Amino acid sequence: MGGKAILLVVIAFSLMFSIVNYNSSNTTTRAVENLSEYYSKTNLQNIAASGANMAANIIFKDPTWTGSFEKLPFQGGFIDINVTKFAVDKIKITSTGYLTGIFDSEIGEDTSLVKIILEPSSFSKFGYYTNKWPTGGYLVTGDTIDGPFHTQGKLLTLGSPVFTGKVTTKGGLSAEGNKWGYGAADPEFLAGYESPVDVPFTLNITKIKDAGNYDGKVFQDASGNALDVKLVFSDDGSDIGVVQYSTKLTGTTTWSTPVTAKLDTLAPNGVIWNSKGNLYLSGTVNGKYTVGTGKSGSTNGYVYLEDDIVYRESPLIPDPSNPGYTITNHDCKDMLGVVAEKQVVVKDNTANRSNINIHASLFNYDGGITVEGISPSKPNMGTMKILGGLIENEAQTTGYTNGAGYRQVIKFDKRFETTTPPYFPATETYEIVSWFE
Amino acid sequence: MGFSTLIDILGSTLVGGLILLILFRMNDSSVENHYLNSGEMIVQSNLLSVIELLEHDFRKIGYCEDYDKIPNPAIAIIEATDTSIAFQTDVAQSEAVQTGDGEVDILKYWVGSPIDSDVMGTPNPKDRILFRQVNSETPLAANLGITQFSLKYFDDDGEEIATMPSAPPLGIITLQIDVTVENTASYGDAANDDVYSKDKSAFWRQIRLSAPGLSIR
Repeated sequence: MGGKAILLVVIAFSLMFSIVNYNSSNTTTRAVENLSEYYSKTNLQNIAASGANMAANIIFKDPTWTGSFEKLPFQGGFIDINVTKFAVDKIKITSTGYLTGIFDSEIGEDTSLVKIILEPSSFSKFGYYTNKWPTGGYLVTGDTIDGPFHTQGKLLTLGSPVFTGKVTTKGGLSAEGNKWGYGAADPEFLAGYESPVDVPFTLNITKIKDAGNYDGKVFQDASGNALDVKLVFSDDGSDIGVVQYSTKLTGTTTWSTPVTAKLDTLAPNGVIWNSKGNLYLSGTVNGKYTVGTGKSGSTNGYVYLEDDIVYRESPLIPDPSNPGYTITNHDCKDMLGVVAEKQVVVKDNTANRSNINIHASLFNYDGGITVEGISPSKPNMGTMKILGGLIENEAQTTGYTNGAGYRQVIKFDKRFETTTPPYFPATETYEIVSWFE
Repeated sequence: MGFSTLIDILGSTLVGGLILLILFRMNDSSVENHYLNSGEMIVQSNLLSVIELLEHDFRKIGYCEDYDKIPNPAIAIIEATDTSIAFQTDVAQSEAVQTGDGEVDILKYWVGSPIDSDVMGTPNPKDRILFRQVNSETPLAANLGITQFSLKYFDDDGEEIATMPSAPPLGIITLQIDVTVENTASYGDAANDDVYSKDKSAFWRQIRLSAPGLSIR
């Protein structure tokens, strides 16, 4: 009798311990499963992202590359990478990661997708691009650079200048402070800073000229001499504006009789190009255009601004919810790119001696925007307001601290983030515009 | 005979009582361990749920299927405090279709107060509700036992942003996310203030989260 009772007690205890052990083991297993599942998911995500990064790296080195990798072993899993071109010059990278691990509390294989879109980058996306950074030149406390900024040189800052757009440099950054009363070294990169980033300063003249020959307007002297072209844009109240143009051989003084043409007839694709010589520009732009001039030798390739060059409708309007501030006017359809194989020069004339307004992205391939005959003894000419962007080989003088010349204000036209003037010079490199994971 | 039987009965009662005491004690220990382990399991599961949700959404800061609609990712984060964040993104169309519909959405996360009426009914005095709101839709709320939801923001130098600009771009390049989860109701003596945090609290820190969409272009 006693033996049976003991046996029952032992069986009961064993049963109880088994249940306790089962519950304890089950809880432990589930806890480990949770951890393993999180690890598997994270690892899978990293595998797919790594594949996308590898493909992007190849494209940055060779922009013409397309192709695929299948079942590339990586980090305990596999990657399928597919690179295709679409919409003429855009690139899509899809990277699919595969990993066998714990997913949904079971051992099995799962996939993860990373999708990247790359586009050719246009110089017009920069608020300010300068190929060379001047030796000893600083951006200092109080300076504000609006829009994306890039230099192929080394950016020098003193104190705390503010950059509202993303800043990239090839040569790095030297942030100095506590010198000449400019405070501590603390440049404010509100949209981030990245270096080294190589955006070579290039100009494909042939591409613009071909576009002009195809469906735009190309000016060139029949005898191959350098030619000066004067363009005066005006708004005639219609959907498409007009331009008055005249020409003369470079170095001569007499302009031809002005011809007025509707812009959709003169240059349907918006490209107006002077093969070699100078371009004289002013007026009110109605539509999207890229105008410019090539050079032969050092005496031409200049774009001279004879007066304001502005859009029919302002690209900025007052912000109704933030008095005192402006926002982009999406009703403005006007856009101008100015390309000088040499540089853009503001003419020293009566019209320009009391401020100048420039609505355009200005591309200076061999120099930078400057003022005709600028010197410390020149009078004060007011403010040079550039609403668009400035791309230049090297910064030039537009004013002096004694008040001579202009005080310069450059405001980035945010519409250039997504749209460019027709056939405006591109960087010949790609940039990532979308990243999905 | 009678005395011997009495001794046997008393002895058996004593031994049986001791065995019963051991049995009850083991039962108590078993139940306590089970609750503690289950509680930790719940905390861990809740923490993972929160993390996976945050990582999933935060990775998509600045993403839009129609990428021209967020041309400047630097302004994708539109509001940032130490307990809330609002950013531009393109939320998944469905569980099966994770890509967005091409329209920019505003996604906002924030935590409520530990004295909100919704959490006053739980025994844990520190738990808060995590809210997730897409555009102006009704916020989705979940009480997963979050007792800490803390965000820190860092600029391009890796320095913490002490004073946030009033409007985008806020200069945020990376984020630090701290989350602590506790049981909303725990096994133990509720009178003891530390009952929730002693062994049923799980802490997670994402030291530097950098959404890919923030640093492109």
